[in-house]
Amino acid sequence: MTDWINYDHPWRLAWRRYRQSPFAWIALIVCSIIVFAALFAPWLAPQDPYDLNVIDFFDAKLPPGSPSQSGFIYWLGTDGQGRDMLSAMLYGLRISLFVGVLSGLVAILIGMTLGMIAAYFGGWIDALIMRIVDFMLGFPTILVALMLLAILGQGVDKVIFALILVQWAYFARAVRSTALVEREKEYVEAAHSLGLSPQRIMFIHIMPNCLAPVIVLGTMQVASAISTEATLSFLGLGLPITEPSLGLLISNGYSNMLSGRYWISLYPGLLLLLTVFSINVVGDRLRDVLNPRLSR
Amino acid sequence: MNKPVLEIQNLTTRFESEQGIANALDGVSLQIHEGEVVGLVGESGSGKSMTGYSIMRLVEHPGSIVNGSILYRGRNLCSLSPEELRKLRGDRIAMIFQDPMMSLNPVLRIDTQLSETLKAHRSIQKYDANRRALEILHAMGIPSPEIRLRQYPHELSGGMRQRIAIAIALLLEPDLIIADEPTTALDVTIQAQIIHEFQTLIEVRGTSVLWITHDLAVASTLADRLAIMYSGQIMEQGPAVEILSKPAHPYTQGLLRSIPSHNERGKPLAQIRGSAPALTQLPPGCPFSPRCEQAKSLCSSPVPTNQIGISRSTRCHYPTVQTL
Amino acid sequence: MTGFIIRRLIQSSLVILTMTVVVFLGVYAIGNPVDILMPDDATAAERDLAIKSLGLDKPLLIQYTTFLGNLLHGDLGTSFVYNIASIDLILLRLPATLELAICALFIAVLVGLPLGLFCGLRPGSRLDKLVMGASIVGFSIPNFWQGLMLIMLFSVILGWLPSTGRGELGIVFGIETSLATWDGIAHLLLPAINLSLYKLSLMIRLTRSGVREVMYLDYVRFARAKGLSETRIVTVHIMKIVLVPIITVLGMEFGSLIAFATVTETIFAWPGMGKLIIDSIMRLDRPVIAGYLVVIVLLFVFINLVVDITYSLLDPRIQVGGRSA
Repeated sequence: MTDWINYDHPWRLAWRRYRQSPFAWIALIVCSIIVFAALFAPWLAPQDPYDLNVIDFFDAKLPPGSPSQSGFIYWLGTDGQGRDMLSAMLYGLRISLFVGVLSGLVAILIGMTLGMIAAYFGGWIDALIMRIVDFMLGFPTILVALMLLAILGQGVDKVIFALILVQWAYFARAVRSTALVEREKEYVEAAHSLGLSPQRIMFIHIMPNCLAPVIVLGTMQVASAISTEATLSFLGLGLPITEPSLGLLISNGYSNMLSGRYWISLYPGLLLLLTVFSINVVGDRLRDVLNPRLSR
Repeated sequence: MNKPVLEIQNLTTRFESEQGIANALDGVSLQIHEGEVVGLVGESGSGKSMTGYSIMRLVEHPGSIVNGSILYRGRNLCSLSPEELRKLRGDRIAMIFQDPMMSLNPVLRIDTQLSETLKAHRSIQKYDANRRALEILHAMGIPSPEIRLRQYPHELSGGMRQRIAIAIALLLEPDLIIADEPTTALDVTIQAQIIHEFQTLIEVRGTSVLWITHDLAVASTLADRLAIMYSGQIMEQGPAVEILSKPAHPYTQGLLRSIPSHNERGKPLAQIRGSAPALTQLPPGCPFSPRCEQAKSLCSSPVPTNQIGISRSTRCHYPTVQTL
Repeated sequence: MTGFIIRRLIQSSLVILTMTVVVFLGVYAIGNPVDILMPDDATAAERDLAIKSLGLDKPLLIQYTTFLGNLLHGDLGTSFVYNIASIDLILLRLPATLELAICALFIAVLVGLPLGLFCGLRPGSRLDKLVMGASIVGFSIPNFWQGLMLIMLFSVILGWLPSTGRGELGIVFGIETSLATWDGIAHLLLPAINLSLYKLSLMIRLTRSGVREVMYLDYVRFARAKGLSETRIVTVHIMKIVLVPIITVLGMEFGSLIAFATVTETIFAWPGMGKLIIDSIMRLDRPVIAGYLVVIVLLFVFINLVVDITYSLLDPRIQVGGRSA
């Protein structure tokens, strides 16, 4: 009986199951392409949209496919300032992803730590942390973000701060639920009896078993953060004009919509939609795969 | 010999999953006659509950009946339309589930759950339906039935809930009741009460019963005939008295020997060594062979059912009748 | 039951109190409001006058208690911009937002519930996969962009519906509403659809997963074993159990609808609270911001309370201080 050679680590099983949906596969590939495009924007974009020397005001509001003075084609047209849409979108994507992912990661770290501490120590620590979590979750994300930015003003760091503040509570609650269940299991008791320190037990023994919901939630939250940031930028409260995110681009093109120059809002919007959508599909599939109950 | 109310012929219920193919029922044949109580005994995973579900045609995806027939008074249930099946269920063949907390709908009142059964099968007014429900609770000796009717399942004790489930089963005076471990979830004292009450009720009405249980002792109290099940196959079948005193199949013998009261004080309890195999990894031939003390080489080829007496059959290549 | 209500009321009051502190600190304490009001060339004397008249020279705690006191009298300050009491301003705009939010909720439930039910009963079918995929698109589309596209399609290109503003109002059951006139409905339609899309997707998924969970439970199997018709099983046995968590979520989501209305109102120039708050943030009209926050908190706490009570009424298993089995 040499079954142990083919032992199925739960992650391997999960990956295999994930692959079974072609839809999810495609979404994962699209995500990778998007991340790639964002990372390598400076090399991929035909024009640097921040460099005022390169932008020609007279090229403003040209429809997609028009040629530029320097020879390359404005594949997706130009915006109100004469910026190449494609380049602006790539850079905007970069910022949006950066903000979304960074805030997500930090929120996960904070949330996971607090959730774990609440679950492990219980008692008044748990009560206190969960009161705060309930309070934060009682209000819709967009509202809290709006208020925070109204008070703090604009800027990349402030947007990231607002997004972190709004998101950490979800992770805290998710980790706490899972950790509460894990805490009762025997391996924790065994670790106790070995005299391991609480930090070690919490973060090295219990934490890895709580990762599944965090991964699913994290994916969906990154998508949500990107969407929220875009909304805030659209409203004029998010990133400043010097660092245009996709939301700002769409907002800029707003007034042009009614005069028929649709491309200034349409393409950044499509890119935003594609990004958020594919991340959500991946997250959704991950949830199906990592959830042991629903095997149908 | 009266014609059987229910006759299962060579029934196979199969489940297909990522882990493989499992035959929850493998060539099961069983007969239940008029007014008879048949005890279907087996450990968990033996396929006994699935037998009940298969008869009711309530096998859920990914399982399905792939072979055999189920004859209810001559009609093959496997070839009936969903609507015809629906008419039979609850009316001619009723089922009692193991855990009434899980089978009674928690958000519906007791009277609703009783009267809807009546209304589904008879054209009856709400007033008459409620009256009938009251009658049956009276007949079962349930105290203050008017109050019970207006309560929700969680407000009742476990024993009371199961009595309600029995009442639902008896409402339309079915020919056959399939009782799937109805007392397993209850305290031992309540168990005895319920079994006794149940016995009285079915004797009066002459209802046939398929009593599914893992507890051989319980089965022997109630059953006229026994069927012993293991890994999806019926190992031995016949009159209860005979099987209990003179079992023919090694599995039955092992079961009876391991009952604590059959063992001597101070000596180690007799056990059947090993454990039941997973249904996806059954050995070829007789599923019990790896654990059987009398297994020989022939046991690794498929085992047919052999008649070894009038109304006794067993599924073994080497049945030996042992008197215990 | 009363014990439960009292407990919740106390809890809610604490939440409201905490929020007033947060609001006060955030809106009045951070930064110097005078700087925003005064033109740059104001003299020191003029500044001092402004500070005194707004009470900004007193210690923070006094300012807070004054704030709280005013609050209890229904005075949320006077708008810097409009010079009307901010509470009046907000209450003026509240009905428009409520109308929008209720319509959006209505659409989400009317379309989402049946779709989710259907998909839940037939998992894996083609329609199921299609609707599921569409629902992910539904909650992935950025709200504001979707609004723009709706305007683009239905107003600019097709010219069927107006793109901005609220239409004519009429009186129905003593309430002024857009639903009374065709013009009103035409103006209401696009913003309501825009606001509802996200919730709609959520409704579909929620209903579907609820139905799937319940479908395979023993209650349903038992109901089938009793020979009940599929219709009855779905409409009574499954729906009743599924509706309980759905209603709870819906209640909580209504609050977020009101919050999300800020974006919709901005795009469609709908004269509601949301547009007011965005404008106020832009113009740093702090009393209005503070007032809006307080109103929102009150609204939320109220909604939560109603949801809790409804939930306990619907699910007989929940003991809310009643006798136990």
